Amino acid sequence: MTETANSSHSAESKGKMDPAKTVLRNINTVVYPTILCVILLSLFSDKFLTVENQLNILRSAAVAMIVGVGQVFVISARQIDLSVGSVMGLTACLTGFLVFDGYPVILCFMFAIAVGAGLGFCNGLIVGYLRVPALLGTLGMLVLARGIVQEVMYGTYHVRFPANFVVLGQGNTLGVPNLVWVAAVVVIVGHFVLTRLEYGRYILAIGGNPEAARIAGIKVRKYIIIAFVVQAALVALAAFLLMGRMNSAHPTLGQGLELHIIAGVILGGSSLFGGVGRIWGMAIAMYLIAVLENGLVLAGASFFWQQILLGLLLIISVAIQVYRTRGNRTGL
Amino acid sequence: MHFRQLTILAGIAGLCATAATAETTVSYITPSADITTGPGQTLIGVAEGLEAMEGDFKFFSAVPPAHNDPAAYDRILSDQVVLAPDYLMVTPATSMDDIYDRLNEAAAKGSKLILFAPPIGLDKHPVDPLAYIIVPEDVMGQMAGNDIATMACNEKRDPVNLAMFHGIPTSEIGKLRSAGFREAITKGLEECGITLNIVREEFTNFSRELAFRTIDPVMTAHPEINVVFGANSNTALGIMEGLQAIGKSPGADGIWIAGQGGQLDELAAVCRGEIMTVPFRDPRKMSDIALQVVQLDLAGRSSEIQPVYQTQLVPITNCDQIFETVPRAMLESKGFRPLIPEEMWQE
Repeated sequence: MTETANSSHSAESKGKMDPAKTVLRNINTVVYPTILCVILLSLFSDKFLTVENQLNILRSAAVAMIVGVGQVFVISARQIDLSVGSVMGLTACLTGFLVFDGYPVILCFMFAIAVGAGLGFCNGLIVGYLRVPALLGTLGMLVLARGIVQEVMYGTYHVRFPANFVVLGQGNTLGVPNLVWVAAVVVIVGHFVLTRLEYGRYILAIGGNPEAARIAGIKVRKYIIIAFVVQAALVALAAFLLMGRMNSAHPTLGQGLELHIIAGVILGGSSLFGGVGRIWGMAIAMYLIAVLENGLVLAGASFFWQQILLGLLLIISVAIQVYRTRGNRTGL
Repeated sequence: MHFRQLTILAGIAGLCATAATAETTVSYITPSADITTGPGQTLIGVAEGLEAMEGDFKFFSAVPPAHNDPAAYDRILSDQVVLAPDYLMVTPATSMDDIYDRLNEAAAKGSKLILFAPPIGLDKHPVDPLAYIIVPEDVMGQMAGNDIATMACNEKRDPVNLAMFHGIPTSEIGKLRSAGFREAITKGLEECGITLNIVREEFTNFSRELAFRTIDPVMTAHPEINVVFGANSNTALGIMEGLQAIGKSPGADGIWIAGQGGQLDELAAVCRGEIMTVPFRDPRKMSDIALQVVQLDLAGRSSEIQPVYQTQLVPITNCDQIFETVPRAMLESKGFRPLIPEEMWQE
């Protein structure tokens, strides 16, 4: 009762808020530390703000952004995917065999996406139909896929791919790295799908209240499976580009990636409890993480400070997000 | 503003600019900053050495969050390409093959490369460093294999039932050490007629924690194991701690452990008699060599730089050898002295 009253009070006060305040209120919290970090780090290194370095930062963040788009869909549907790193390693190593067998790049690309989507489909079935909690189901896939790739490669790795393959990850178009172009397209399309298309609205509805979504006629299992398939297909896309960038594919590729991705998604404003997804926020958060990693190195700071600052930033940003959510509910 | 003030300001600006241009930038990229490890000690050695050297140096370092994450290493090296330090020192995380492209980009930006690399295919690497500083990893494995074979022959431990705990599957260092150990112990035991059974092989990714967890089921499945090889210091230490946790005694009268690398806590375990043999490579000497290369290059004496520097290895099987071989400053650190009984300390 009280909450309803407070909510209507909140809506009322929102209606009276001036546009500037509304804009400030709607901007993701991660924007502020990003701006602050960019200003501070630019004071410590004259190379930080150069175009070359900014493109380098964007390139570093691009892979995480591509994977992060998929994770926003999964987390918005009140699920989580911990298997992204292992799926990346497995997809890259299997695709590497095709590349060295001389198959055309486009076929290798389709194979990579198919492998990724297949693994995502398995995740979706495990979570959607077997009703295994996503945390445990995808944790199982994390271990399984890493085991498979280690067994398949058995101590070997792929290295020095043909030039027409490497150019995808290492080349530039109009002076901007190809990786950045791909990430930009994926982020824009992801944002459009999540906010404008029926699929995105269903995902948010499922994440907000799965039971209500089911009663409303939404096929919850189907959309959850699609979310996992999209996630893993995007991981495969990222793996494909990263193979070119690094000119190698290791069975250890992507180890620890899941924490980086989930941190970026949550930092970007998506709710770990489902129902709220922020693609742009995620993209800015991934940029912020890359800024910190890059800027602290250029500034000559020790490696341990990177970890300390990233951890602090994550806690503070999520705390602000929780505070604001609570503030919205109570009209603060 | 008066002319005099302007002159002073211009002078200060000039001095700053001169200082800025005279500064030599040096980066060391390493897979581990843990001070008990070889790369961690080399990192400290480079940082301290630069402070002690004459001249104006600025030092940068970076370490990936996980030492076997090639993508994170690639990002760090991309940052170095932008930074373009005068001297870029790199220890590869898993393999030299992963980092050629970034190294060549850094070289194209004017960075001179000093590479701490395993001794394989140096002439085939598509990169042209100022110098390679190499550790003969295969010889390290052979030394430990020879020591264990000699001990087994002397004590007539027959058969030798061996478990091998390898490193990261794709690590060149791990492969060379394991192959060297296997070759030497096979040959050494054959010569004195002792049977060798390799009863179990595991990849424990150079991880102390993984080795600790793995030794328990391995010993349960194969209680006959009496020798265990660990592909690096942390692996050997994890095996040692795991054996102690399940009530087995590592050491001369129990299960023999052969380690690799000689990080400080591993040396302390040799001193206590819990690890039987460790070939030691001096990470501080490696950093000294790297800095010597920088000095020679800065002094315009680059013709005196050797293309490849070999790091010396010393087989260590007891406490006395440690005090004879390892630099005193390293032994007095927290990584060693508190880990041995006071009565073992030698002034």
